[in-house]
Amino acid sequence: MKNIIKINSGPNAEYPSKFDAIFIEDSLHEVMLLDNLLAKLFPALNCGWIQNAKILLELLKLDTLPKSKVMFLDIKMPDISGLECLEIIKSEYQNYRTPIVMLSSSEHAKDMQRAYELSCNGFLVKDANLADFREKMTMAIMYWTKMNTIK
Amino acid sequence: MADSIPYYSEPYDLTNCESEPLINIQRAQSYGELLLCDLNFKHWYYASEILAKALNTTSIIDLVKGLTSLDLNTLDITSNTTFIEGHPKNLIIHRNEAAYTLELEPNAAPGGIKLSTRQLQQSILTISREYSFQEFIDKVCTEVRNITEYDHVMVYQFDENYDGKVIEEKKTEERPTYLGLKFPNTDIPKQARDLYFHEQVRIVYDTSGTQTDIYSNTLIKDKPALDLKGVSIRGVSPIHLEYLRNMKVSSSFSVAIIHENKLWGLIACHHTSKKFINYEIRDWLKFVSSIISSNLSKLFKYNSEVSVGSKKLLRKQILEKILASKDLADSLLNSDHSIMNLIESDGAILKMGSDINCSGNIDNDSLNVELENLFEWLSQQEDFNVKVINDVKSALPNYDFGETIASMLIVQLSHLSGDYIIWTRQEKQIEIQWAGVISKDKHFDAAKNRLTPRKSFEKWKQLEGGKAKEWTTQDIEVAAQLKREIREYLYERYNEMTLLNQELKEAYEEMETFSYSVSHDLKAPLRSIEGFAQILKEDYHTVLDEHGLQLLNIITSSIAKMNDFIADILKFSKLNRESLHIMKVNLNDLLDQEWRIIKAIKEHENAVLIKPDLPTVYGDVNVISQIFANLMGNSIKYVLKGEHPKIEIQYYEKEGFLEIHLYDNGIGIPPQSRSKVFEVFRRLVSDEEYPGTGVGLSIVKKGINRHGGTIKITDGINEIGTGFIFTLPTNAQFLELRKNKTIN
Repeated sequence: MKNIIKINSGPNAEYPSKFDAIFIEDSLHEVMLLDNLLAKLFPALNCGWIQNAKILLELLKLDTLPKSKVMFLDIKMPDISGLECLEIIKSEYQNYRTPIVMLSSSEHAKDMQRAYELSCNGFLVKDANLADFREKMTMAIMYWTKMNTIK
Repeated sequence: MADSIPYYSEPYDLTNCESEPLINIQRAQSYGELLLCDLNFKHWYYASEILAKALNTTSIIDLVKGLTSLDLNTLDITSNTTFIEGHPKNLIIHRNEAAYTLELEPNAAPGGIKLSTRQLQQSILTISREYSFQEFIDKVCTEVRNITEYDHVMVYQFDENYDGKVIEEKKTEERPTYLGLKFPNTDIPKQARDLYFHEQVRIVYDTSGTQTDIYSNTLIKDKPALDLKGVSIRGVSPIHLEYLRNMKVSSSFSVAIIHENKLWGLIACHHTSKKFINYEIRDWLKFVSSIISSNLSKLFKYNSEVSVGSKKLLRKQILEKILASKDLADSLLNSDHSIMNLIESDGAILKMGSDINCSGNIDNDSLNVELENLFEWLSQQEDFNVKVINDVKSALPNYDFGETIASMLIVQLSHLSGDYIIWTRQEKQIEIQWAGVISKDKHFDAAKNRLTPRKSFEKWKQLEGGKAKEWTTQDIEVAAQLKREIREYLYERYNEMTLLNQELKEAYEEMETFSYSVSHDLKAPLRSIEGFAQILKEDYHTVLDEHGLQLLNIITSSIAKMNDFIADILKFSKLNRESLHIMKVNLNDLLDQEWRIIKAIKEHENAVLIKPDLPTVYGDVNVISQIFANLMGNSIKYVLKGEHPKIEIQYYEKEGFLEIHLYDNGIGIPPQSRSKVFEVFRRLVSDEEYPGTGVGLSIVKKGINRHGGTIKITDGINEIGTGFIFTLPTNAQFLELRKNKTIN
């Protein structure tokens, strides 16, 4: 991994306290694709990776989740799905104000509906081919890390 | 001393000529003698002429002994009627609180018959066997003629007006036949019919008119009135005697057939010379009368059971037909086992929902307005099961059904949705064959001071029209039963449907999970393969040779194709399970939009679309967009090498829907393959020539079907290319209706 730093929970975990973007994604392959993309297009960007929703919720609980300008949350994850995770964050961690953008490989209408009900900040469908996906992710990362302002 | 008494005990003249007081006839028939006396045989009250004279000198007891050789003192008279066989006369004694009535009648002679008990028993056995109705009546006629030896024995059956029809006869060759003829009810007036309940058998011994006067004993001041009810020898109406004489009958004998407390019919026996029937045979005939009555119940029950049984079978067959058919109306009216077979009728009308279907003699087109009004009127009536309108003209004077509908039998299937089944009957001309000319004028004979009967009994035909055959209780019962069975059937169907719906819902849910997994779990690894192949090309192209790079290209193009497949399958399955969002769709804007998308691709810049301004349709905008995108996309894709794609669109407005024609100048679809192209994954050309998934037209057809429309393929522009003719609804109600009717 060139550009993405893995964030672990636990007493000995070491990672920066601040990122441009954090990805919650269970698939290593997806992360590798992302890493390749980031290395080529955003070599200066600080990105973190949390492998599943359980770790994310632990970090939130311990208040050790690093700050970020945006969080990309994958929908399809084992055990706690992205939507379940979103629901917990929105109901239990109302102080967590980082924009959350959902990622999904399908346009499943129900998922989208549910995500917006839970006040997600965006919903990106992962394109079937890499070129399209790159284009989409470039714009999304540009927007959320460079153009968007949060306080 | 004795006085002769008048013919009737009450006045009978022009004022009451139609109700001759038969029971009050104060004469005795000439075959015997009559005597009324006190309960001690001391004083006589009334007596026939000979006896009255004899009683001047003889006591009652001696007189009876002299005529019968019976000793009254030794007789045990306890019952109402006692028959004692004497010589030379038989004695019948009727007893009431005030008097004895004694009938003295011949033992066998004159011209009479005497039968053995064995013969009578044999006859009873013969008619008691199991027969069909007609066989039974035939046997009764034969046996009665055998026993009475009369020239002519007939069985009459009365209709509801008591006109009697001869349904069976046995006769000598000389007698005229009356079989099938009708005798008007005036031949046997009401008071005569009423008497048959008291006297099941009645003999008229001598029609020549000779009847014996009855004398009243003037010495006894305080005596009971002369009551001859139930007394065989009671005199006969002079009108009836003349009637029988006109028929050339000298002796007549009749047996009442009583069924369900009504006079059902008569066995009438005629003889051309005088022939007496003695008490024993009269008694036997009474017994025959009761056997006939009880057998009729059994026969009718059996007959209606056979009929009900076969109707039940037919009903079952009808219901099975309904079960097998998707079109209830069609199977009720037009199958081999239609409702018209169930109940004898000339026509049938079925209203279900807004559809009115007719069969038989009913022409829906010419009666359309009348029928719609009729159903409107019916829907305003109280809830009912079966309604009978026997005379439509007088019951529904505001309707003009012409001659086709004279009566109706209506079953209400549902009050709520106003569904009905109606059987109809038309006016029928019925030919009645009367025995003699029947006129309404009564023939009052001033000289005789009474009515006179008609002289001729020659067959006389009369036509009766303007009415339909009435619905029987059985028709009504069958109609009600059909309603119950249809309801039961529908209820069962409803239950099955609920169950199926449940299963369908589960299947849908499974399907949804399935497509969800397909989209996630199949797509994710594909994304990896494609993504890493791209990365290999980008980052490692320096370490790969030409061939290696080619192989990577094959990987990425294969993945692209697989992604297309997945996308199309998901679209198709989504179209199957997701409900439509029906709204007004501006077809013109929609088409322009789709065309812009197509034209945005550089290779399509030469494509041409010719179309008129299109109207508005009803439907799901996404689905309709997809339909046009796929159809126009095909037209552009399947184009001959070097040709510029051209699309022409036309439309035709039909009732409730729009027929759209889309023609192109492409490669065309050969006629024999036109039905195949709508099958999922079915392709006619190779992937190398024209890449594709084979799902596009399946999506089109499914989308159109889901809107209740149809699609077919014809030739395209100038006999090359492809033409699609399909329909889309232009009215929301129509869409609902069509959707329900479209299968698949």
